[in-house]
Amino acid sequence: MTDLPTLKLDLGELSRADGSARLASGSTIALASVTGPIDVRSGWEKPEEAFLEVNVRPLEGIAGTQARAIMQTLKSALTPSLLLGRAPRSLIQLTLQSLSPSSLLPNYAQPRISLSSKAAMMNAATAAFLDAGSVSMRGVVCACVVGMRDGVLVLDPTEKEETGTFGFMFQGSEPGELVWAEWAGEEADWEKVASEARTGAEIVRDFFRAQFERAAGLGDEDEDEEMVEHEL
Amino acid sequence: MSYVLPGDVLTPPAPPPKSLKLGPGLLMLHTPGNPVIAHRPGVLHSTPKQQHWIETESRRYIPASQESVIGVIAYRAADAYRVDIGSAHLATLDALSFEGATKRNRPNLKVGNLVYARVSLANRDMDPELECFDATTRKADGFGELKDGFMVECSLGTCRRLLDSKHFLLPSLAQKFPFEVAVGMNGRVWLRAGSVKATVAISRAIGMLDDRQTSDDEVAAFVQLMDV
Repeated sequence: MTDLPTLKLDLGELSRADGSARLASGSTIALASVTGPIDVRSGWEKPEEAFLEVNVRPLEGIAGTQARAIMQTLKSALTPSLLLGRAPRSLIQLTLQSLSPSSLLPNYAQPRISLSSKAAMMNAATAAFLDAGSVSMRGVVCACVVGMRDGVLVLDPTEKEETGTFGFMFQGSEPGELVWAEWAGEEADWEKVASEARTGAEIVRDFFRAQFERAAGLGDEDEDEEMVEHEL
Repeated sequence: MSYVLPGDVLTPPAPPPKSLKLGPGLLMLHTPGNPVIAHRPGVLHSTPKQQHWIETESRRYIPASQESVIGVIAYRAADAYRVDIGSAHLATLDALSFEGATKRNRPNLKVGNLVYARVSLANRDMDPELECFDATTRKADGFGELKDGFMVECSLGTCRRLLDSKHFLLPSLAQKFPFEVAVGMNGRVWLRAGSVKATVAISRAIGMLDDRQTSDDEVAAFVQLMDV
């Protein structure tokens, strides 16, 4: 088994957003910002819950089909963790941007966003919600990318080695509940791969807990900001 | 005191107490066992009287009943003002909710004026409502229009700290020069001092306190070095 790439988290860098997070997982970097609950335009107003608007921007070019597909992914993965019913008739805006380029060539003239960028965006979104502190949540969603290297399952794949991404919602000390999965592989391997991905996502969740504890002035004093690599 | 993430379960002490008072950030679920979970991230505080709440660092105000807030008049309707208190919806302030106000004798607030008011009604399904007096005594009690002065914005946590009488900042500033201040729970502070220099000094000090990167000691040192 392998380690996750080194995780690094920077919070609150965007002064105009209620919450923001820049997450680096190795050399894959994603930036997320959250604002809300704020006033909503009447076309989007929902009487019983908040409207979640998700925008995804690629590093290069304008948002096209792939960005829209990732937007749908993130909306469906994050919504289970948000208590939108506690802010009816309001708007919660989540904006995500990849800050690291894809190493593969553009696909039909659209810039690519790698699976590990997708996972980093999902993690950055959760961290941005936690940084904002204004949206009620019932759990935290963390994601993990998986790949194959020489026939072995790895959690730090290069872009060519990527085979899938998984997202899990963690509530307290319960095992993570699967909220997103996309993966190419043999059906027989599914249980094992999902289980390893869950362990990877748990490491992200523990990393977030430690970072936020430190930001609040509690928890252990670490000398460097980067997470120590965990072995599975 | 411990840090909790949303979804963390609060384990009640054993033997379980007769009643638990749950403050901001905590919810009791109606599932078997009635677990109490955190729905906001932050530091969990508990008192021996079984009061529990979560202190969350946040900048976006969510109205709560009985909180004192600073509002900006957004527009006036026939018998009420619509006030911006920084929440998702504008609040309503009845034109007669002031001390000594009658139909013939009402305060004449303009768009852009500041008011210090108390939230009298706040629930998730309705626009919040404000009052500029104590409803039982009908006295102003410090609420009403805030004339002149200057308003600064800060985080909700900074406002809570400024409202704590034991906090160092406002008393240490008062030793340097006189000023008036009104702190709203909605992330806004109004101040009025004798000179522009003093006003700028206070707002810089509050800005430094609000900044996550500066420590309390640095802010205290800044106040000491002030030459106003």
